[in-house]
This record gives sequence, C-alpha cells and structure tokens, in this order.
Amino acid sequence: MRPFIYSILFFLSITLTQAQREELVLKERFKVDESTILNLDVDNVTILFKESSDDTIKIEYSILFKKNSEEVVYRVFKDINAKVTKHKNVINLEVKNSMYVGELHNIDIDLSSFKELLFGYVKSVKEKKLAYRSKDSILKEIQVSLGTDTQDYIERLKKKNPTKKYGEGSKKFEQKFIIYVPKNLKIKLKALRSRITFNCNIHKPIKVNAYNTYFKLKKVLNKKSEFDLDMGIFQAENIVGGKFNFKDVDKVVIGTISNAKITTEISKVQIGEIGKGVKFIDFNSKLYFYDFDKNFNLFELSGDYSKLHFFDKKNTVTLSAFGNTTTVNFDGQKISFEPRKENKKYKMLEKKIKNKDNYFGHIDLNITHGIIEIKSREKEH
Amino acid sequence: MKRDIRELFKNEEFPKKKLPNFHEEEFLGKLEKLNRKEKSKPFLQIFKIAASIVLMLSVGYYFLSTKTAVKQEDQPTLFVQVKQIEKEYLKNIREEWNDFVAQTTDKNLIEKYKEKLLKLDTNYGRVSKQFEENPNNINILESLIKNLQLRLELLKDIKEHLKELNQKNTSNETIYI
Repeated sequence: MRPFIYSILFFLSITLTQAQREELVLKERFKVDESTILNLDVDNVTILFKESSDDTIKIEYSILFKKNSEEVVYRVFKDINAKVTKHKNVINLEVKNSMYVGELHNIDIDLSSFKELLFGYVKSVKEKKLAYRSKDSILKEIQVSLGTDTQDYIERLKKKNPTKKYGEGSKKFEQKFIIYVPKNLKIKLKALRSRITFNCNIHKPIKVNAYNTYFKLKKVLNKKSEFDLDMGIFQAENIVGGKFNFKDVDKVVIGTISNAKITTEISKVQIGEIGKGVKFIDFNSKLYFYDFDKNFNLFELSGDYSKLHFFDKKNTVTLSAFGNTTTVNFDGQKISFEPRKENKKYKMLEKKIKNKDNYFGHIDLNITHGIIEIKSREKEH
Repeated sequence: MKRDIRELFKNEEFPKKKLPNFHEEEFLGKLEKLNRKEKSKPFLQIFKIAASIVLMLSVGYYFLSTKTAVKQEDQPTLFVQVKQIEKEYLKNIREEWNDFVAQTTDKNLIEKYKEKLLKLDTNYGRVSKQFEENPNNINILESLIKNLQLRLELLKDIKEHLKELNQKNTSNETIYI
C-alpha cells in the first residue's frame, strides 16, 4: 500500500480542491418592532426573502463556489462589497457588487447546447404568441419561473428529458443570500441588475425603485405599495392595491390584480385575471388581459400606440372605446377608425353582451393609435 | 473584500470538538510504535518520491495543456462569431430604424424610440466590456444576443403596429358589436 501513498494523497488533494466550498460574506440579526424600516440599496445581488418566525430580521449572505479555484474566490471577494448598519429604527443594508458577481443571466448549460436550443426557443415563442392562457396556467408559470423566457424554456426541456446531457455552463459560484423578515416589516428597496424573490407575502407598504432587476413575488397586499421599474422582469401571483410603474419591462406577468394603478411604457404585460378598481395608463405596450373577475365592475384604460388583447370566451364583458386612429380586430374582422376633424376623439366601438345575467363588468377604453384585439373563440395554449 | 478570518470561528455553527483525556498518551504510544518499525531502504524511498513527482508533473501537464488548448481554440472563434452576429444585427437595426422613421410623422413616437434604443446601446457597451474580460461566459453572451434581438424586435413591432393602423376597411362612425 505504501508505494501508492503519495499518489493517493495527490489525487485526494485534487478532489478536495475541485469540491464545493461555501464562504460567508455577512451574517447579522436585528430585533425589530412595527416602526422598523429595512432599507436596501443593492447592486448585482440575488436575494431571497423568507418570513421570519419571530420579531427579528436575519441576514445570511454567503457564496457557494462550485469549483474551488483560489483565483475565482479572490476575484469574487474583491468584487463584493456588503455592509449592514442600524441607525435609530432603520436597518440599512448596502450591497455594491460588480457585474462579475451578478447573476442576472444564469444559464447553466454549455455553449453548443445553448446554440441548439435557441432555435427551438424562437419557434416556441412564435407558437405561444396571441394564445389564451388561464389564470391557473399563469400562476403555475410564475411559481416555477427562473426569470427570462429562455431560462424557463431550457428548464422545461431539462425536466422533459432528464437523461439528456446539456453540459455545464460557465457558472463557477452561486450567491446564497437569504433575508428573514417579520410579517409587519416596512421595506424600501433600491436595486440594480439584481434578482429579488419573495417567498412570503408582502403585508406592509413596500417601496421599490429598480433598474434591470428581476422580481418574483407572491402576494402584494398593501394599497400604499409602490413599484417603479425600469427594464427587467416583474412576476407576481396576486396584487391587491398599490401603484406600479413599468418602463421598458419586457416581461410583466401577474396572476390576479385588484385596486391598483398601473402605468406602462413600451412593456409587455400579461394578466391572468383583473378584479375591481384597476386603472391602466399606457404608451406603446403589448397588454394581454386573459380574464376578468365576475365582480370586476369597471376596468379603465387609456393608451397611445397600445396593443390590447382581450379574451371574452363566455361573453361576460361590455366594452366601449373612445378615441381615434385605432384598429379593431374582432375574431379576425378588422376595421380602422380614422381621425375626425382636428383629431377629435369619438366613440369608435361599443360591445354589448347577449345575456345580461352573465354580466361581469365594463371595459372603458380611451385610446389613440391603438390596436384592439378581441377574441371570443380562442383556444387555450 | 477585507475579512477577519477569526470572525468565522465566532460563528455558533462552527464545530467545537473536545479532545479526549487520554489523547496525549495515545499519541505518544503511536509515535513509539512508529520509531520501532524497521526503516525502509533509502534507495526505495527516493524511487517512490521520484515516481510521485513524475506522476504529479504528468497529470499537471495534462490539465494545463488541455485547458490551454480549449482556450486557444475556442476564444478567437467565439469572439469572431459574436462580432459577426453583432455586425449583422446592427446592420438590420439600422435598416429597420430608417424604415420606421420614414413610416411615421409622430415626433413624440420617434423620440421615445430613439431614447429607448440609446439606452439599450449603452447597456450593450457595458456588457460588451464584460464579454471581452470573460469571453467564454455563456450568460454574458446571452445578454448580448438578447439586447440585439430586443432592439430589432422593438423596431419590427412598431413598424407592424403602424402598418396595422392603416387597414383598407375604415370608418369614422361608432360601430356596435
């Protein structure tokens, strides 16, 4: 056995250096009360919020190195800058990481598999376009979503073909950042190129200002909540109240929404079910409204260059469109409403329902340069 | 980032193992046994060390040479491919932009799109620098391609939108359905 001792030791050292290793960045705990505010200013981080079982905030941030290379460990720790302080009743968490540490693009397959899958992905997007989707399918999509449609497509393929090898990506480390927050904590968040996931419902007002950040939320339940997003992704299972501002956000997916004001610009929005008190102001977005709650009563939208998609399979909603220079496509029959003198707005369209006992509510549109697609016979995707 | 390694040991989860009381005696006993054993021949000892060194060097050389080969082979090809894709996309984007501007008289709309494309271009520049530093990073590559696709898609979409506004079947009266 002894002649092999050195060789065994050498191979053992190789195996150990190749193994995973976790390095702690930050670990803090604060006791909080109802007036405490958690103030976050973060760049290039991946944060998972979980509900705390007591009245404390627990911050646990570490990096999991997949391959133990000293060079990577050095580079990562050089590019991480995280600190937490408490001033009066405000807990300030500041994380200013470089883009090298960020995980916005997180595909873990090799280059040849990626190239191969890209064609299939483009095809699937074309097939999905304009199809009706139920509230349940939207909720399911949000729950399993990893962020971008490409990431979700690859993940779906991996699940379909568990034995197929897709190779390894260039991912050398992973951020493990969990913040445990009590139910009644107020949160202020400023984020840049980050991934923010809430595994718990948001009960207290939350104020968010984000640039190119991916959000995945459960329930947002406070009417004083404010979200201001520039680029990135926003996915939420249920929204009850609040103000939402989406600019250049190419993926907004919401399961159900009520009592909320949404302002959008050049974004793509999909909503599973619209409830009471929803108001929309838009400029040149693609908006998909799949269903309306039976008590939604009134839905108001004003838009310029908006492309709207309504699905009224059960003939439960009435609709009126006021404006000009707009095209309506009702089950494939197209008509353009021209401007009148001095570009004055007028009532272009009125849609009634056949059975008044089956009435859910009214859609009130104020629109110019828009396209209104109404589908009453669309099959579910 | 500066870290005090002693902080790691303050962590409650760090295992605190207590040595047994007979540890010292046990250690000395083992040491004595080892000394009593017959010393191996010096020639054999040197041979074993030399063999291990040769093995280490050959494995080390194998690892380094394969890594270098992959890098030398992949890097320029991928970089050139990306530059080619970029060139093609930018050409298409320019063409789509010219078509779009010719298709509308709405200055507000043109301004909004100009602003949006500029923002995406700035973003592209930032990610492009990252790609130069990490040429084999698939995530950065995806980011670059997505940016170019988005710009092209946006222009194609707005052109399609403008085209759709001009249907043959027109009206300026209220229609009831």
